Amino acid sequence: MMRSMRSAASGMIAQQTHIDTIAHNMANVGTTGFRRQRAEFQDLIYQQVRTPGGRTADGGTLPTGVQIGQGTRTVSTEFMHTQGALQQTGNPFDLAIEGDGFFQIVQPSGEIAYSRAGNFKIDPDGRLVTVDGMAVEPAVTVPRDATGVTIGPDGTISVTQPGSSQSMELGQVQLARFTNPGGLEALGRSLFAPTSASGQPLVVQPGQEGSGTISQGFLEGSNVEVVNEMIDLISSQRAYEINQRVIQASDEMLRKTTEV
Amino acid sequence: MSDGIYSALSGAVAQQRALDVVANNVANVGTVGYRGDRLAFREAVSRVEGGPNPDGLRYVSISQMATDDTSGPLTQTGNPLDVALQGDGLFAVRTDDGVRYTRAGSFRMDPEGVLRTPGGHPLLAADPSDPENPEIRVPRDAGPVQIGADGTVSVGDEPLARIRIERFDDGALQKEGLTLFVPRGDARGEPATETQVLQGHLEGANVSPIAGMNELITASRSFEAFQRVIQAFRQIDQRAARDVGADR
Repeated sequence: MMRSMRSAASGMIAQQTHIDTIAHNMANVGTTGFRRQRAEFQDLIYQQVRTPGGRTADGGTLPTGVQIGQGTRTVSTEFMHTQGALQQTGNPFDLAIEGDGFFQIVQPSGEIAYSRAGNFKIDPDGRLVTVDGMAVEPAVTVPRDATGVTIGPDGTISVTQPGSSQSMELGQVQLARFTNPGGLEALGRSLFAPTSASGQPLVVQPGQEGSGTISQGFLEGSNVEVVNEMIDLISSQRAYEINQRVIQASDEMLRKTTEV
Repeated sequence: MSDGIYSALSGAVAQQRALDVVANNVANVGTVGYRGDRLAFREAVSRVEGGPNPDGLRYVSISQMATDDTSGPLTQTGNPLDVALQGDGLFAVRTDDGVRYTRAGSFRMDPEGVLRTPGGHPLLAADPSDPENPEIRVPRDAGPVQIGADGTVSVGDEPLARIRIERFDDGALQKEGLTLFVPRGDARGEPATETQVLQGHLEGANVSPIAGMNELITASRSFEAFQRVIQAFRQIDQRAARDVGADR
């Protein structure tokens, strides 16, 4: 009797986790470079009530056994690194990656984090930084008097300066690739850190060795699909309700038992 | 004492078991590749030779637990490492206890490029070129992974390996938890050649919430009925003890 209550409780907890991830995804539907999370579940170990191959009363062998499951558990909340939609902004420092790869961002601690959010700015020193003021690696300094800034699909940054018709190359944006981007650890602020599951970053030039290319004047939106999240939300809520009904039914049975 | 009370009791216990199974099914409605369970009951008779009740006492017991082998609903995810099977057959994975089988096709790549289940078990290749290392290994920085309808994993135009997919006879597999199945006894699988592999899709649990609700209501109502019967037997016994032999 208690088994059914515990199984249903594990189902309710799993659906709660599911709704937590849906809420987080929905809250970030407008976050540049956001990666949606997906909760995954597995069934728990089964309890052998009757082992297959056991003896029956008349000396025969049981063809099948009875094993009763004990519910579910959350096995992972994985980041889905599918491409988000590109939005044109016209801002020369808005960069979007079309394809695989991450921008490298130097955190205040000096460690490098990885991000898909390319809404960069120029700080007072002319450095290319994120909206939080963290520098992009490799560092690029744009001269104060530079007029048109061009960033090519291969990440090459070039500027034209007054009085010169020649464009000057300042540097190149590089991208980091991971064997298993789903294993990256989220740090918040659209940043990710490598883990043993993601593998070490492979720094490449945009467009080379399977990495994506850079689109200047575009931003990559969040890869959350509101319709899919809504459907997940509805089915998760209903699943939660059904599990709750199982607990009610178990409770009712217990009550009837005490009435005997 | 009436013997019938034991029949009713066995029925109530059986309904409790049924509720346990329903609870596990509905707890796993969100589990990828989960297969629902169903209990079958049977009538059992304990016959006492020459006893006062030649028909014996009838009670109910669980005859078997069957796993529903129908496919779950497919949902498109667009993730290249989400793979669903259309038709029968299961993916073979390696665990510490030997080869296990699963329908849950939400794979991921580890840092070495080996395809693994969310539980960390490596996916096995059919006819591996190196039998010592039958895992499926995708080279780093090689571009997107393609998985064909026959389970061939390739990068670019170069095929790397074919996923080992096997089918089993009905009832030859037993659940082990973590969406893994283990063959019963010496049951052996055979390559599932008819099965289609769909990349970018996942197979959901084959448990219908409506059926779950239905079974839930049946189990709780039947339990209630058995409880009434037990109460009725108690009243009869009480009345017998009080009235039989009482002064007229």
